[in-house]
Amino acid sequence: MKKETLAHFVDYPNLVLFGFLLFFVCFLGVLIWVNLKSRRHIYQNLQMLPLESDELRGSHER
Amino acid sequence: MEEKSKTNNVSVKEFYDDKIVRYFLYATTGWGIVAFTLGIWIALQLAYWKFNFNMEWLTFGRLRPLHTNAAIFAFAGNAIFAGIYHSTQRLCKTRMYSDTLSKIHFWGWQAIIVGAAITLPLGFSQSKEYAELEWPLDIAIALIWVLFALNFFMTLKNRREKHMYVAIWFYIATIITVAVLHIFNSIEIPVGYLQSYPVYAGIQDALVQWWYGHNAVAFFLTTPFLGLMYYYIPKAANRPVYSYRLSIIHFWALIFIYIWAGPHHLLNTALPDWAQTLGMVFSVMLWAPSWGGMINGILTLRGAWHLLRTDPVIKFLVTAVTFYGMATFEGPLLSIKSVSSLGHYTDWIIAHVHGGALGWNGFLTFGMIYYLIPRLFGTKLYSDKLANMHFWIGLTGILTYYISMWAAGITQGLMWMAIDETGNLVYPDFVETVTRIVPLYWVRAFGGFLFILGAFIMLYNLYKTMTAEGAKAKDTPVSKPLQPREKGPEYETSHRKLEGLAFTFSVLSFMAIAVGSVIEIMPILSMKSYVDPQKIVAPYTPLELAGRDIYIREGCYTCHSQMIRKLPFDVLRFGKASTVEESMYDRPFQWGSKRTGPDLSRVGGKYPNLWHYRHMNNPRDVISQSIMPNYMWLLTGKTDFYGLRRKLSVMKKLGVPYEDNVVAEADRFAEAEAEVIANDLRQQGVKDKHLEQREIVALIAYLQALGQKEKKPTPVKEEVAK
Repeated sequence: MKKETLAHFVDYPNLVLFGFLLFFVCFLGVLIWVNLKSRRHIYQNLQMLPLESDELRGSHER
Repeated sequence: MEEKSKTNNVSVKEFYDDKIVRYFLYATTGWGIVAFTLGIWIALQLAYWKFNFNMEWLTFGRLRPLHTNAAIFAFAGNAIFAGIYHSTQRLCKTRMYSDTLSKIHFWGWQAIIVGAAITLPLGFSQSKEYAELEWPLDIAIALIWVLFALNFFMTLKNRREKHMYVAIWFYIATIITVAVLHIFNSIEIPVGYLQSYPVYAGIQDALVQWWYGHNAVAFFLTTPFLGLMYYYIPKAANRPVYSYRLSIIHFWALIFIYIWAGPHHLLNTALPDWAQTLGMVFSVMLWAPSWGGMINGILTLRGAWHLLRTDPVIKFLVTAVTFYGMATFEGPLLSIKSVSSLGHYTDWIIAHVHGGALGWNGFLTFGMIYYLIPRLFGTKLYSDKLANMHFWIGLTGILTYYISMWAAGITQGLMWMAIDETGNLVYPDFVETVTRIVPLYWVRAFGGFLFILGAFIMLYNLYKTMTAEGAKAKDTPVSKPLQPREKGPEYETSHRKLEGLAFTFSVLSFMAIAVGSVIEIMPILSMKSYVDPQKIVAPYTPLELAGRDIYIREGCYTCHSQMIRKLPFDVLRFGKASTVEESMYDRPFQWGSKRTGPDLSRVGGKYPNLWHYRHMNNPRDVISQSIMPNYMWLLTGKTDFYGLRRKLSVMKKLGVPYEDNVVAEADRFAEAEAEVIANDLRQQGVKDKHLEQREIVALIAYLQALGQKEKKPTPVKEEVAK
């Protein structure tokens, strides 16, 4: 049934396996990309973004 | 109280537009009270049918859509906009692109809500859950949403902080996906000023609707609130999000997987098996990203757990995330076919929905309001004690609601499933399974009462905060971006670039949601692949179509399904499992999602016309324990015969095989059909000179046709043919 359904788009016998591998490789790629050690410092910096607004610095009085 | 945000020599652009945030917050609290009150009201209607007050505008079928629309689009919607306008300006370190667009967005959205509050009780409904509003309001929603999107994306373009923080990603996904969902689910052809038929029919309509319906939960009640979580928990706890890495995985995995999960609302139905399996598998996969997000939110409090004891804002926010975790555990669980066979159509689903709506959306909104109002008025919260009281009363209310509906749902589900050793149903009378859980409906209403009591305490607390001495509504000066991130090659990574490019990021987000949507929906759009030519049914006769419109107007789908699942206990109770062909001309489909009353797929021919006449006048005349409202106005209301030519003409254009003469003389055909039923009723003692014209006759024609379309010609058609 999966094959019949996917055949609606492309009639290729190994499309189910190909689709699975494509998604899985993409997922692994993102995992590796995100977890590169060299990025730790950048992430630490970026996660401070919401804490940098003026409310915390007490300057919303004007 | 308002202080103008333009002072001597200071440009308005140097201040955030907090006025619009305050407006959306006022709307959130106001509409919240309306939505909660409607919720209690309809809960009481199920506990005691007389709360329907014998008035057509106030029946459960008409108020339930109003409740869900008010809760989702009025309460949660305004909360989302308040949070997005507040946090986006601060994260982009710039004022919103256009104050005018912000104002149009605010007033336009409120006008749509008022439009819904007027049209839904009047019965103008498409009967598609969370998409009930008729075509003029659909167009208005699309326009206002596009203006909101324009304002938001132009603000991103003008931002002074290059990097887009994770909250912004969730807002982008929300804005794009809601637009896609709304537009595709609302493709309909008007047949009147406030009536339309969808272009999709049967399984198509079911799949597209639940692709929309599930993703309305995903992209209106989840992703924007996750964005708010990623902003307000770090702000309230004054510490960064637990893991930025996890937030990246959370975001991309969630938006990619969520869009596929819609078919889990249609398990064991006539929907093709591949679509059901796909929906189930992707729903189970959702466990991982959902819990990743929950863990990320809760662990943001690492090292500051004491705030849970001392800070009411943190209490609300963290409890909200905990409910998110519970709801996103329960959702995939209910998406497993075997669990769905027990839970679907029961109050277990209602429990699940309210765990999410009251616990996750409600408490996160309350936490955000308690955080924002004192800051927007430059003061402190009037009373932490009252906020804590709100928290505990509200939490008790949610748990009372949740547990009572769990118990009701599982009890009723087990009663439906019970088959004795002789192969017969243990509880063959449907009404017996309803009356068993009515006490729990009272408990549920009490839980709702506690929740709204908490909300009133919040209102008082906010009022005292805003009117306290020294409290003034004021705009905040725009912050300057920090310099280190603006320069330095170490930040110019691919990751950095992606999250600094709003357009590219938006396109990728669109692609992530488009993949699942296309793969799932495209094959179903060619319905002929799934229809057996030998089983094609006859279309509704003109009078049946008129009756169907009345059925839709009254919101019968809120309590009655028209889908007998491929499950032994469903088949034993209601008859042969429903097929694709039986609903192939149904625009909109009426499969339903809840059975407070029995399934009606095969009710045609089960009872005489007089039974239906008496049942609609007063259900207790024929089923003494029924909790259904009276529909006596159907006995006096007149059927719209003249609109039928137009309606059949639209149906024919959409592919329903009506003969030209049937379309051209639809009203005459309908009147002839009505005469047959009216004569039958008269013979049994009904006295009404104009019986043929009554809405009850059209409705009876429709009900008698349900499940009978394979056995053609129907008795009515034979008479008309003569």
